[in-house]
Amino acid sequence: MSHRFRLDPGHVQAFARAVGARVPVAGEVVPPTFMTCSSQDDPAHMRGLRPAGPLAGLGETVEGVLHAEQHFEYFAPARVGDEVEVSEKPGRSWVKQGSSGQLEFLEFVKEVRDADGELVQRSTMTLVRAGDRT
Amino acid sequence: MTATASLGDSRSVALDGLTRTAIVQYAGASGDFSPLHVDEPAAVAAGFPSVMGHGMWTLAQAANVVADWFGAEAIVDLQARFSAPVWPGDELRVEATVTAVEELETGPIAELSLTAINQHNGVVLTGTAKARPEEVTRLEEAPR
Repeated sequence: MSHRFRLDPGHVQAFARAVGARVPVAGEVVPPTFMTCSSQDDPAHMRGLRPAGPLAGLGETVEGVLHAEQHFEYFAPARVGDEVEVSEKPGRSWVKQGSSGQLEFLEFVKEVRDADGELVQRSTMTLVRAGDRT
Repeated sequence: MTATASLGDSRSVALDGLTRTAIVQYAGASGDFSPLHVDEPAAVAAGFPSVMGHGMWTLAQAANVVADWFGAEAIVDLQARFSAPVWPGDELRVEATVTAVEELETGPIAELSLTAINQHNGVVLTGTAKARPEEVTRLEEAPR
C-alpha cells in the first residue's frame, strides 16, 4: 500500500518549528527526519482518531509499544515542494528476553520514491512491545 | 555547503527543558498522536509517570546539530537507538562527534557519533550519522 506525500511548505515549516530547525524554502532539502511525517498526507490517518500505517495493526495495545530504533538512508535529495510516493511494509521481527519479561521487536520499512520510481529515502523504524506483563 | 571536519571534532547543543506544549506541537506536525505522548491519564494508566517525549523529536534535535554543521543535503545516513524515555522538564544536551573521515572517489565522507544526555547524565539516545559535505547528487541504491 502506498500513498503520495506532498512536501508542502506549510507542513515543512510546522515541522521545522516543532523541532527547532531552520525553515527551508521551496527548492531546499527538507529537514533530515521530515519523512517521519508522511502519514499526515495519508487520507486514512487519524480519521476518527485512528492512526494509519504501522500503528494501525497494533490496535488497542498501542500504549505498550515504544520506539526502539530508527534508521534513515538517503539516496537523493527531497526538496520542499516535491511530491513523493511512500510505501510501508513490515520488516524483520524478533523476540528478546529482557530483565522484566519478553520483548518483541517489530521493524517497519518505509520507502520513499520520486515520480520516476527511483528510491529517494528508506527509513526503518523498530518498535518494541512488552510481552505478557502478568 | 562546504564544511570541514577532522577526527574528534565535536559540537554540542544544550536544549531548553522539554514542555508538554512542545510535545503536542511535535505530535501535531508529525502526526504521531500516540496516547503515550499526548494523553497524560492514558500514559499514567499504562504505568508511566507522565506523557513522554517523542523519540523522533530527540533524533530531530541530533539531526539539527549535523545539519547545521554540514548542511541537511550532506546527510546520507542517520540512525539512532532510543535508550531511555524523555520526560517533560528534561533538559537534554545533544552532541555530535566525528569518529572517522573517509576519502571516497566522490569526495570526503564524515562519520559521526550522536548522543543525547539528560540532566541526570542519563543517555536517552545514541546514534550515528554520515555526512558528505558537498552537493549531493545520487548515491547507489544499497542492496537489501
